[in-house]
Amino acid sequence: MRPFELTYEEARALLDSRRLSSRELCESVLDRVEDLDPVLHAFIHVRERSDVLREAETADRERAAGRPRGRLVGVPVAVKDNIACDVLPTTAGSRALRDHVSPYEATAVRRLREAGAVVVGKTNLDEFAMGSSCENSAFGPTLNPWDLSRVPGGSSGGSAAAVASGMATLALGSDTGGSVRQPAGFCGIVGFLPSYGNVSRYGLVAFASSLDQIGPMSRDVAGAAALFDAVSGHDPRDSTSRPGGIPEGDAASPSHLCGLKVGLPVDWLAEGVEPSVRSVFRRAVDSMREAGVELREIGLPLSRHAVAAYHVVADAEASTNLARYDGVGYGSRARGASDIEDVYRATRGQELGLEAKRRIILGTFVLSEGHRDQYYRRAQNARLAMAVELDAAFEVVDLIASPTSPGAAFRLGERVDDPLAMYMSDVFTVHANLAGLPAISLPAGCDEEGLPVGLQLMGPRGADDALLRVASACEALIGWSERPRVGSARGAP
Amino acid sequence: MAGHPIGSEETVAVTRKTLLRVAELAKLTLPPDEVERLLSELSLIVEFVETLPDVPRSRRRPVEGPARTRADEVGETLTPGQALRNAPAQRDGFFEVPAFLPEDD
Repeated sequence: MRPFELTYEEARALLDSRRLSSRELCESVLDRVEDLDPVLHAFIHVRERSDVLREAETADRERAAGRPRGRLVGVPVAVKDNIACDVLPTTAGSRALRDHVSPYEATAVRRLREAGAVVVGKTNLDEFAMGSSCENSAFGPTLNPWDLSRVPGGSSGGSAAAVASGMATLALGSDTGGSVRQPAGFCGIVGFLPSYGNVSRYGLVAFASSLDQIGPMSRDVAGAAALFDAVSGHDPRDSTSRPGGIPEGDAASPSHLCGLKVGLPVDWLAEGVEPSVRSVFRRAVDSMREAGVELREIGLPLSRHAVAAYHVVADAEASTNLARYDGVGYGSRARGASDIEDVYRATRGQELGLEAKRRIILGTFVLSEGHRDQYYRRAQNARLAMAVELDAAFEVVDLIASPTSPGAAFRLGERVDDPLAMYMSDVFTVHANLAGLPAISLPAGCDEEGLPVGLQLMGPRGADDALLRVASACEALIGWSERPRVGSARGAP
Repeated sequence: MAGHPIGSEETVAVTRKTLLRVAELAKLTLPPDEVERLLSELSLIVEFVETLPDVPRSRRRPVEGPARTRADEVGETLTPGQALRNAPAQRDGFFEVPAFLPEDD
């Protein structure tokens, strides 16, 4: 197996036993980037090879001296381009920030570097994390490594494609309505949304501040858990960051599942799920049942309003968060503006993409005088009521299981003219963000066309480590470890 | 169709007048083709979110805890140089923008 193909757990074992060097691993990954990224467009910026390898060699020296800094020493990690690094630009997939180099580093990036990880590059995303397909990037779409005519999902499509194809061992993404989990599902990898507040948002370009979280992406649950462990925890720079530490989750065997109560929401599974997704999901939960899990049907009648509530709340917050892109202090400024108002209007009109504008306008509309009660207040009330409904469900079951998305990866261009259809791909993911709950997508199999299908597990607030342990057990149970075969820029697979 | 709050003159679908007013509030210039496209898409989206129920007050759970505060002490901040590094235009240590106050005569 070539080093870039190793899962985090496999790489870690070889690195720890010194049968593989970080330099070899990082070189393998960089070669893979050189080979595949011209085809997949997962990266917006890639670091200089010499810088990456120098850090890899430092990691090797630390290991040789018996002093590795942490669990991520020498592991190549990709970072979604809405998370600030101070060594590479942070574009958020937007023309408005195309040359922007952040004057500060995100806490999550600082922590992963302190844990010894080597940042390989910044990955592509839907502009300002607004999208479910990675087609809204100002720098062109990323392609799905499983089928180049299809989307990798979004908004963390670049990170998902990079990890799935071996262009990084691990990646950071961000998730506001499903943007880590849905692309993880579409690309056949693991994507984890921590409980709101468990990972600092300092340095994450804000989209919807009450919903955004940074989340790890990996080919194995162990990698997601290690990356989560490294970046999570209270940060005084983020006032929404939860106080206290988070217990470390360890891998668990399928026997761990015995006696667990898993809820299947009848309201979610009744209709709208592709038949092949439904059958992969069914096989996964049946094998959980055989391992001793008690499956229970649960009712979540209010949850059918989740996508509507999500778009009102998220877009309202986005309209405020994106007001800062005004051409004044940073980012691009439109030329030839005659007065300050013109600077704002022309800059924003020219430099922001259509989806961003759509959401800003919807958000401004729902907050405007005469509409705030009808839309925003109702959405927030519905959001709280749905959170209460989920809390009640978790008194009866330990976890809630569903497919990550109602279908597998759709084709490029298929939904760009139908925003509502695009939004509906988040129908199972938005609930966790709205209620601040942890949720994980892990690969459960493939549909009839060979496209990956994700299984989503959602847990009660704060149960991140328990959820990761269950996911690890399910991963062992499902035993799926396929990799996409991608034609390289040079022609060889 | 859902009822409308007192004072609202718009119908359920987003009218051109509303769209342009909201775009001005958001300080966004929209070229004509984007206006047309957004008009139809936003109407669909607004109709979709109209389905949100008016949940009675009693179902709400209390908001989690008071907002956390910290001591009013100066911590780490950006230097003026760092803050100006990405400015599209700067002069004498200030962000430079087109004049927005009338010149004194």
